[in-house]
Amino acid sequence: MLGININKIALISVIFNLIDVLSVILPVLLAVAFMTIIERKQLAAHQRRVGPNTVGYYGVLQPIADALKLIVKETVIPSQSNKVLFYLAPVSTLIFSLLGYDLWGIIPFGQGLSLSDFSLGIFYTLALSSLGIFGVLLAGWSANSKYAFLGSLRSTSAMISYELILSSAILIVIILNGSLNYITIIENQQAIWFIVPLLPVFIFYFIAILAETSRTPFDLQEAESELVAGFFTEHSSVPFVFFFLSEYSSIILFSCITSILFLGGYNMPELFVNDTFINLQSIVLGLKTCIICFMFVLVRATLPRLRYDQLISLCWLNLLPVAVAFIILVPSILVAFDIAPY
Amino acid sequence: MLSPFRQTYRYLQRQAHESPVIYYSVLLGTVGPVLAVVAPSIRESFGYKQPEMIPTTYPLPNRPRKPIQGYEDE
Repeated sequence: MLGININKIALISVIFNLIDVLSVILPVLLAVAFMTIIERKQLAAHQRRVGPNTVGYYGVLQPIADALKLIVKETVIPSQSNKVLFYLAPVSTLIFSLLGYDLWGIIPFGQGLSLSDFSLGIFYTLALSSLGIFGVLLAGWSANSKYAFLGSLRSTSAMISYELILSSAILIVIILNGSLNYITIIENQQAIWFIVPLLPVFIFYFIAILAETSRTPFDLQEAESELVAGFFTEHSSVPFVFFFLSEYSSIILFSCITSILFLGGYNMPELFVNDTFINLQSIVLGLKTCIICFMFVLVRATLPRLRYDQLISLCWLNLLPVAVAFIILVPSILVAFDIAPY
Repeated sequence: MLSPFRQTYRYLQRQAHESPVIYYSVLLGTVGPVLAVVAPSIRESFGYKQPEMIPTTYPLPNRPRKPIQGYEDE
């Protein structure tokens, strides 16, 4: 009798956990789908075009039509490729970006509104975001094509280089907070958002996330029509969809993390206790994330591509010295004026 | 007599032109530790005092300890 009850309780808790996770994952997956249409519409507006406007109202259903088209297409596998790794690469990229969705589990959407209040949140984020490189490497190598291989080498070296800048910028935020927990970082920004005292850091952080997500002006590894698509040259239909999904999900994820680290997360001045059913704090976080996503597309519409040597020298010769200087300067100021939080 | 200083100044000026990123990064990086050494004494001279440490334990009672007899939970 007791055993049955315990089993029932375990089952119910599993179901509730599943509902918890789904309530976070499903909106994020929808956001990824609609990020593509938002990008195309915004690019169209920048270029004085209408953009996709046929499928659904204002072209809103375009991402669904795109996904259907890609899934129905034939999967072409190069004859001399390593077939296991050829399929494993996009799957691993998507799985790591789904772990990225797990990452959404530690992102606080409001006061007390996160799946898990993880004390090492930022470490977890950095560790998972660096795993995506393996998919890129595998994809380039397994396709047995020199274009894909060169593309993957270029992507990997750029991602590893800019991860250094990204981690340095995040390290400065950690030094300022004395905590790796997202909620602590957000609560510390009640007085002032970190974008104000750390504006130079925010600038090179933003450059680093542009490069990390392989966006313009750093997208030369996969410059769509010019370089036959980089590391996923040989991938078509569903494997291609996997790469596509993981790329856009990382854009949204980085936008969300940026709004938490620099724009105060769910905090908003004059928005304290809210007794209604509408969770204003989540809406505030969503709006801030949208602003950063908008900036991603704005940069794409504005800037031309860099050359590859410019990309690497910008990282190692220009951004890295500045990042190191700030890593020394920020804790020195905290010690000098006795304002360190630890 | 001033030539070493002038030489140094010229060298720094040249570096600031030729590799501005390295130059200003080094400048920014050295400002930090210098500030950490110099700023506390300047603040002290302006009358700033270190705040008391936040207590992490209860203060010791100002009386002799009571001798314990037997067990407390009896």
